[in-house]
Amino acid sequence: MWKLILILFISLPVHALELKRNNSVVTIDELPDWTLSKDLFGIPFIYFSPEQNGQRSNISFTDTEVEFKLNPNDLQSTQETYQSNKRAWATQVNAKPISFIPFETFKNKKGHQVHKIGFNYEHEGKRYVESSYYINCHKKIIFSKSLRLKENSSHESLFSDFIHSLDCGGVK
Amino acid sequence: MKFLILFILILTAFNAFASEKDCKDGKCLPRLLRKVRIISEIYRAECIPKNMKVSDIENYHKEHPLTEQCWRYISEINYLDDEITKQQALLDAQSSCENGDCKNPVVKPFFANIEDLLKAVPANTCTEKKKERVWKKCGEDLKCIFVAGALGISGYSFEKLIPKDYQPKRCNLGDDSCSSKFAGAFLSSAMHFFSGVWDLTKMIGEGIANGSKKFWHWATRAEDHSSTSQLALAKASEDPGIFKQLITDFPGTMMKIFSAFYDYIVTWFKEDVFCKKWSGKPHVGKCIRPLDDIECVGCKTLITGSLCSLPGTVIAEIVPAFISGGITAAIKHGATAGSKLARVIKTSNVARTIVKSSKTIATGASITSKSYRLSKLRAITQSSIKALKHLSATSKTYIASTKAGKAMVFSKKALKSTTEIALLPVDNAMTGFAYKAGARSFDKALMLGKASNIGEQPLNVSRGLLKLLSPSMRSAHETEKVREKDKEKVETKKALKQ
Repeated sequence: MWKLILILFISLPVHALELKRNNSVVTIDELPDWTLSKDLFGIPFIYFSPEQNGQRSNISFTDTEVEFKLNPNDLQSTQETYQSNKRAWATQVNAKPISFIPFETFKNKKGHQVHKIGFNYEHEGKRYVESSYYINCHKKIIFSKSLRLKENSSHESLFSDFIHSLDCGGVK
Repeated sequence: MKFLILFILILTAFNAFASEKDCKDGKCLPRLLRKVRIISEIYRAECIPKNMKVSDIENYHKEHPLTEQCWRYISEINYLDDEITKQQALLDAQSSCENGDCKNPVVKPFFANIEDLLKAVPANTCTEKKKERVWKKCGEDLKCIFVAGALGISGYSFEKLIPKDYQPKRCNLGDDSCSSKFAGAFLSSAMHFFSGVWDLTKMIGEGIANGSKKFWHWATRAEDHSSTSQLALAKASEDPGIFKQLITDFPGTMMKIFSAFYDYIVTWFKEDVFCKKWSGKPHVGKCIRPLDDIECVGCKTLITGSLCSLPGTVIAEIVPAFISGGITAAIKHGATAGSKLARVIKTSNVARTIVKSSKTIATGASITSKSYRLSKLRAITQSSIKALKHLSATSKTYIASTKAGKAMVFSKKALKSTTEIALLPVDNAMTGFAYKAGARSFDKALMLGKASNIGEQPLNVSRGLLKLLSPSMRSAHETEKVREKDKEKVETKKALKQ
């Protein structure tokens, strides 16, 4: 009996979480122990992990409503600008940049082009990993950013799952 | 006496015109402010019931006649208020030297504002008890200023910033342009996320539409805001109680954060920017004589008299460090978080330099003008003006001539309470309230229809206005009054018959 329950549990489809705003609907896979919040500091959607190593990791989602197809070659060749902007931000918040995550581009499981870049920094004695995702979903750009403590590396694969599951059927 | 009032009002108007011409560097503002205050006091005493709530004023006017004297007062107040606003705007524009092109730099550096405010705190009177009293009052004032700031934010939903059930007490919302500027700059830096940052026009302007080479530059603001906010949220999640507050009542929590931000700025000024004596190198060593007296200047006074003039660039520079470094302490300690935060958040030299070198409005008149704009007295007169404008635009308006004088009425209810009336319908629709000097009486301001009966009595003497005159002037005007009374009657009759 327990085997049947296990099989049923494993084969249950992952529920899609709808992130609705005006005429836009973005969907991602939902995780049961994560918490979704809206409009914190103006961020439309932010998804929090359960607490791990004293902190919750988070990932934000925003439909920029900008229709523009990003050119990966341009983004790659100009990533130095991203890096210098991050250094300036770090100075402003008294953080220390450690290293940069190089630009990469890939298609997610729904077929949308994802442009990813990031950096690692230290703030008040803790190390953080921040990644930005610019997703060309149909015509629009969806922006997402993940943030976690360096030691919460297990959340990285979950972030990746969210990005891969991201769809924007509601975006016209 | 009617002529006496008219004489004084016309004199006032002439003075006002004179001050317009001679209002370089806002010199006319103190005179205009003194006049508007005096006439507003009289209006409040004679035309509005004592302790009337601002929200009840329109109903009151709807149900009660407005005497000609009150009409004159409110017209004069309206005129003076417009003039003050105009002169203040000119002064603000003249004093805005942030871009370095101010033609007449009559203003003092930013820190002079603080010095001016501190003059109101006599030496050795800023005791711990007094500080405590001032702080207690700060709570509501800061909430009010926060709400005013939230109202001024464009492109962001007001409901997302203000708790649903929040009713600010003694709060003159929408009238507090200066302090709302301070709160607005804070909110813009902390909250104004993505509104404008994904600006397609800017994107096209920067040539991004033709390629993505400038994309990272274009995305900087969004990147910065999201990095700051998400770091702050990750740190807040270290304390389950704080995290819960943030996600269940974000607007309420933001109010606390704003109070903490205010306290942080005051502490920064007290112990860094305006520190009187340092142990070691200034701004690097320890401040051993902070500017403690600043704590005895009320929050509202400090913000309207000084902090609201802080350049937005300073606030924009401080807020990210404050949000990312001190959000937990800010939520925990609210308006008393400043000293705790000052230890953990290092304010940059850039911000300190900008504060020291910034040129802002520092004249006493400007500060007084701002305090007038915030006053309850102005809230009352402005509500009256608004109500009268609204009523005159939406109701049938009459001038009722009674034994006690003429009065304007807006509804049947008001007519019932007025006996022995000669009704004069107002033929011209009153769509505005901008009556110029010399046209403040009903007769001159309005085209009146024919009346079936005409009141014989002149208007009553304004007690408040009489008090303003010296005894010799009063006597002279009493004589004048007798002489002019008959003439005035005849003129009034003549005008009404036409």
